[in-house]
Amino acid sequence: MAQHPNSNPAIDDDAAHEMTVQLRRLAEAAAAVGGDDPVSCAEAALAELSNDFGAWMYEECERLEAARQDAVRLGLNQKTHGPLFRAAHDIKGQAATFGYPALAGAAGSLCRLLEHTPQLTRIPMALVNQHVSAVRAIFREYGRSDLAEMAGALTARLRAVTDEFLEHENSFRPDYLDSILAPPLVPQAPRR
Amino acid sequence: MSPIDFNLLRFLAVDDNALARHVVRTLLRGFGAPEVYEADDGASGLEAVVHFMPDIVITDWAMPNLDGLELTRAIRQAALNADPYLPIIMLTGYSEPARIAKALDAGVTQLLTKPISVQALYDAIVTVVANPVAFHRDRELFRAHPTEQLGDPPAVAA
Repeated sequence: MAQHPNSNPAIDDDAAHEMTVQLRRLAEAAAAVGGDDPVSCAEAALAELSNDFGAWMYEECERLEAARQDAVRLGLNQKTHGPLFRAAHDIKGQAATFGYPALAGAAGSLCRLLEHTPQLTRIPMALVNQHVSAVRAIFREYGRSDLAEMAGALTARLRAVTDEFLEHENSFRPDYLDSILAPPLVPQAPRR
Repeated sequence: MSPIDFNLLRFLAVDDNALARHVVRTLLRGFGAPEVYEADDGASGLEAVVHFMPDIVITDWAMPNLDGLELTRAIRQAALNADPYLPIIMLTGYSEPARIAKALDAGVTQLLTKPISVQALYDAIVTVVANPVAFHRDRELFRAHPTEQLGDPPAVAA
């Protein structure tokens, strides 16, 4: 049985005291009983924010567009890559939470393109532009009755072109290529 | 009834995206946690860990300056004046097997892939509080050992 992490010789006395307090709080929280149905309470709190989700998603799309414009103006380099990747990554992660799950696929495809291309300068800016335009178009058209088909077709095409490009660019490292073409460990978010 | 008392827990939420932090803060307060501190990147998260001594860190992975993985490794270094075994829950958009293995090897206690499920976040918190796990540590790894439960939690002083 492993020892409980309750001390460390490299830690000074004040910090050790704080840690003891910390461990006590964890133990007390584990020993106590909390309120009724905290999951429902949290879901209700999240639902109260939902009126803002459309504006928040718009903000995220505009952030992505601003990052794209910087990349076009300055070229894809270490400075412009990070903001563009994080903007796409945030949309991929938050789309479903904000009620726009159909945005996640196109944003995720852009993340793959930016993450797995070994040489940033070889990424075709036209493909970046197409991804960003697709994300914004799907958001703009979210009320359409055929949105699922439209978003699905756009995303599938972008993903196919991206994967073809990545296969070519990573052909010199087959192990890496295998790892990025492996299916994810978790189910993908449902499309709407 | 919740099996743990969120009212007694102090959280730190680390994410460069203010909207994501807002969502996490809302969920934690909804669970009943009154103390939720925030940091907008890994570097300020590390400072906040030392300053606020949270009981649980909830962090994003992709962040500027110091990302969530680097933050986790820094926390796990015993030289830092903070608990190296601090529970760390990572919320991330990454779902590739290699990425997940990397996060767990760095010492992430629980990893949840986005989009955030309220139930999954709640379950992860309950697990790290009520069922703390042992860590396997060597030069390369600092990994929670899921099958090795710790004994009774430390005694609560009167």
